[in-house]
Amino acid sequence: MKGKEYMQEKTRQLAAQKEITNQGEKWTFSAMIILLFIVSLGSIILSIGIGPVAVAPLAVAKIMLHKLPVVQAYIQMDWTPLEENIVWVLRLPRVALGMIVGASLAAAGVAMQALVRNTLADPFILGVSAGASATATLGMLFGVFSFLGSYSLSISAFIGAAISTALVYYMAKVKGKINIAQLLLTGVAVSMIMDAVTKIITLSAPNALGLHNAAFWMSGSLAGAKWAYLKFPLIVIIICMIILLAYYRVLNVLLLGEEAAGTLGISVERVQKLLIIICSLLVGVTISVSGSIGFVGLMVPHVTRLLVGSNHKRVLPVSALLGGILVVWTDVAARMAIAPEELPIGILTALVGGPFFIWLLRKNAKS
Amino acid sequence: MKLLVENLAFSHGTQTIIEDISLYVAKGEFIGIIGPNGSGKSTVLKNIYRALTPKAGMSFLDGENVDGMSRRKTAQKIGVLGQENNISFDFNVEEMVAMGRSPYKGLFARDTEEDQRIIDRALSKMGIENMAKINYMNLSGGEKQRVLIARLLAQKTDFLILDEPTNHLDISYQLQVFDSIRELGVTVLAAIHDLNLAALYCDRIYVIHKGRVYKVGEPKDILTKEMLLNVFGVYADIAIHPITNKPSITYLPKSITLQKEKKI
Repeated sequence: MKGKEYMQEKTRQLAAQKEITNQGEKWTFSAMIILLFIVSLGSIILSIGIGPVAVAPLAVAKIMLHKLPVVQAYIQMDWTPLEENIVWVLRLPRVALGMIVGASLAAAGVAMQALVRNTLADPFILGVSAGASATATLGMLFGVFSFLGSYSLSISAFIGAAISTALVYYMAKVKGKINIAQLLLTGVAVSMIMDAVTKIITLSAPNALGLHNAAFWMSGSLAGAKWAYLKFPLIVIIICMIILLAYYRVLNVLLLGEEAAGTLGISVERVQKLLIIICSLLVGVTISVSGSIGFVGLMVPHVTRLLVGSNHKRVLPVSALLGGILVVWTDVAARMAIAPEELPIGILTALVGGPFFIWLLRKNAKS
Repeated sequence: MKLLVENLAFSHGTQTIIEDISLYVAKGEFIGIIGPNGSGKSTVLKNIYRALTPKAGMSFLDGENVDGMSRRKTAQKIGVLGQENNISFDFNVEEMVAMGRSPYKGLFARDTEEDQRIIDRALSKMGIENMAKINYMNLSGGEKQRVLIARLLAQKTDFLILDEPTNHLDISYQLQVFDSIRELGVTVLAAIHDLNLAALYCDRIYVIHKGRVYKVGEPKDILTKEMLLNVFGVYADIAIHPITNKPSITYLPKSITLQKEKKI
């Protein structure tokens, strides 16, 4: 074979090989998403069955299917009304809320980490959750946002989250760059201030706040979830995910640094503002229904990046699903650990997430 | 004319960093900017590619005022290789190069076969197609620089601004980087630290000193003993090298300089 022909042939072979690996990669990623969906569904069904009154997974699945319009006719009703009540009214809303909250916190973590270009960022660590809790309690006490009806709590929490995020972000910027020590310390300070505000309000006005006591705001709980609580957080996570996914290239490029992102055609400031809003929305809405559950936004994106790399096209959907699964099972642990008493779920995530954060810090310092 | 810069000025608060910088780059030229640390080389470049907003002056790219261009359009015309390229997130080489396509991609746009072809071509042109799936963070300095140039190729601009692209690289990589950029045949404006390399690759050189253009011209007219002493504060001997036909600078250490001064 002549040299030139040989080269052409070789190029063709290489191209063909590449085609195969590219397709293979796409396939593995799709397979992973499908697998995660199945695991999520399995987690929902299994975790609903677990509790003071155990319900068999099969019965849980049947009760859930029975609520669907078309499939309904094919399901044989062999469960007790008590079981249906436990599954449909008590536990499913709680587990579904767990999925939504987990997905929202993980997505908020991804957005924050893109904003500050560091994997150590998390809404809880940087005081965003504390800010949301503080304004949510304020809102409840003074009824500032009561004209907004049932969304007032979410919106007041959003405002606090946005203030904290913007404050921490702009304070951590030194000469146009994010200084990580400055960022974490500002986060700690903002967190303490906001926690103090929350404590003062909850302690001085116990009656007005009723169910939502200080423990709820600071350590989070999914207890008391109702179907009515699900709609708004669900809409918010769906909208935020769509926006973040639309911006996946921009988020990737943003990780290169502000200047490099600018040279690749990104209006950096606009994107940063958008990220602050999205992150605050996700955190604010989540806090208003579940209190603050920490470290999910730190751990989940980290594990996700180990699995699929840093490309946001993959990080976003995988993080959301993993976050949901993590929170659902942590909530099961919170229900069962000292039954019949319940542990606040935020205490459990802190117990695991704290050491994880320290490990990340050490790893960061070494590299 | 590719780039025309007129009376560019920039200041940090009350401190003037650059002033009255005028320069031009003709199509196909490889233009170097030299000057000691802190002379304002980087600042000039950053004001041209709009990482900084100039206090005064205008830049025209292909006859169009850069001020009026959107970020995206600028990115479709100017490719920039900056000094800082640290990243603490693990992207593989192919993903890094693919980022060069972002100026052409709207929010919901999919990656097309055309994009993939451009990325593949950029990878093979830099000889890194076999590294496509390797983590960028694990590469050596020289390899990283090749990836970044491949990203510039994927960005498909015919004008490149390079800010000391070979800083901290081994000499073999320095030559490799300049060779591969030269081979592209695009118009280049580059801040260059190493004066001998500037002599080898540049068509014309601008000397920036204390924030102003000190001198401009072909390497042989620019790289003189007087300039090196006045601007860089060093004694040197300069000869036209028989093989390269370019000026070659030999820096003189203090011991020799003193002897020479005594003789004079």
